[in-house]
This record gives sequence, structure tokens and C-alpha cells, in this order.
Amino acid sequence: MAIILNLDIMMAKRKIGLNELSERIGITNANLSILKNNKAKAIRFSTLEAICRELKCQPGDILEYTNDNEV
Amino acid sequence: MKNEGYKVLSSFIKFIIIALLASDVVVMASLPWTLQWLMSVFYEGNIAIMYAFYMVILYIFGILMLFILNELRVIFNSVEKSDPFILRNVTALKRISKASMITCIIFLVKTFAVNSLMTMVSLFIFFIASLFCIVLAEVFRRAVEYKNDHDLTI
Repeated sequence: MAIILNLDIMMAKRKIGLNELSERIGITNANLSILKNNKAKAIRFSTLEAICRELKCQPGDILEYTNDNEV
Repeated sequence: MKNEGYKVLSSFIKFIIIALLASDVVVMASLPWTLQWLMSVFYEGNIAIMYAFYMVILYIFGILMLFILNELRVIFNSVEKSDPFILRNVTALKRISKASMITCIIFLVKTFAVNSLMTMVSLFIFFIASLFCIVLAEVFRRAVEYKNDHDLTI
């Protein structure tokens, strides 16, 4: 997938665990794991907003575009 | 409450399907004797040839019905578990469609050999059922795709 979610990097920077973040943003641990492992197909604005609010960052800090065709 | 009613209904239909499966097996097992008895009562003429013809047609039909009912049981099992949008159901519907089309062809053969109004009605019903199942399989396949997308939208 061309869009990568660097959630783990931002979580490490803010020193916050998976359980704590999932509780704060109000989604299940399993769903946050899907996001963290880049298995998700889409992300809701409400989820992105909650993540940015809790991690005190911008969407651009956790979302990254890479061209799959580039070698 | 609404969900409970739906579950009770799907369980009831599953029970009917299992009862039909069992009766299908019983009818197929007793077919050589019942057919002989029926033909001796209702049929006049060369019984031996017609007996063989009906035996072949009814056994193929019985096996196909067993197959269709089993696939329906699989579908209603998943409905009972509140998870009907799975790829297995798409496969089941495609199999039912193919089995219905084969049944339709068997009835078509019977129409030319021994015609009756009931055969023609059954032929038409199985033809429509086959087309219906092809479309339903495609609808289910799309539903499975949407469900997967929805499940992976966080």
C-alpha cells in the first residue's frame, strides 16, 4: 500500500503504549493493532482526529506516502 | 428482540432443511420398492423400461436435491451465527445454481421422454432458481468485499 501509517514511531516518541492509546481514543486494542501494523484499508477522520489529539501531532506526522512503483 | 426473532426463524428453517435432508435419504433408500408399487398401480404398458428410466432420473434428482439442501444448510448455519457474508456462502450459491441447472436439464430430457404438466413447471422453477442463485452469488460476493472493507476501516 502506498500510504504508510507511522503510528508506532509517534507512539514511541510520545512514550505511550498500545493499551493506553486505545483507551484514550476509544477504539479497541485489536483495531489499533490493525492500524499500527498497516493492515487497515481506510481510516475515519474521527479516528485520525482522536489520534492526533492524543499524540499531539499533525496527520502528516503519522501518514506517509511512498510510490510503490519506484525501485 | 427483532434479532432474536430472526435467529429463531433461521433456526426453524435450518430444522426444516435437516428434516428434508433426512426424508430425501429415506425416499432414495426406499425408491426401488415404492416406485415398483406406484408403477404397478398407475402405469400400464412396458413397466421394465419405464421403471429403469424413472429409477435413473429420480436417483440423479435425489442426489442433486441432497447436494442443494446441504449447501442451503451451510448458508443457514452462517445466518444463524449472524455472519452470512462469507466467501463460503458465495461458493454455496454458485454450487446451488449449477445443481439447479443440471436438474433443469434432467427435467428437459424427461419432458421429451415422458411429458407432464408438473415436469414442465419444475423445469421452469429450477431454471429460474438457477439464474436467481447466480445473481445472488454475485450480490453476496460484493457484500463480502464491502464487509471486508468496512471491517478494515478503523
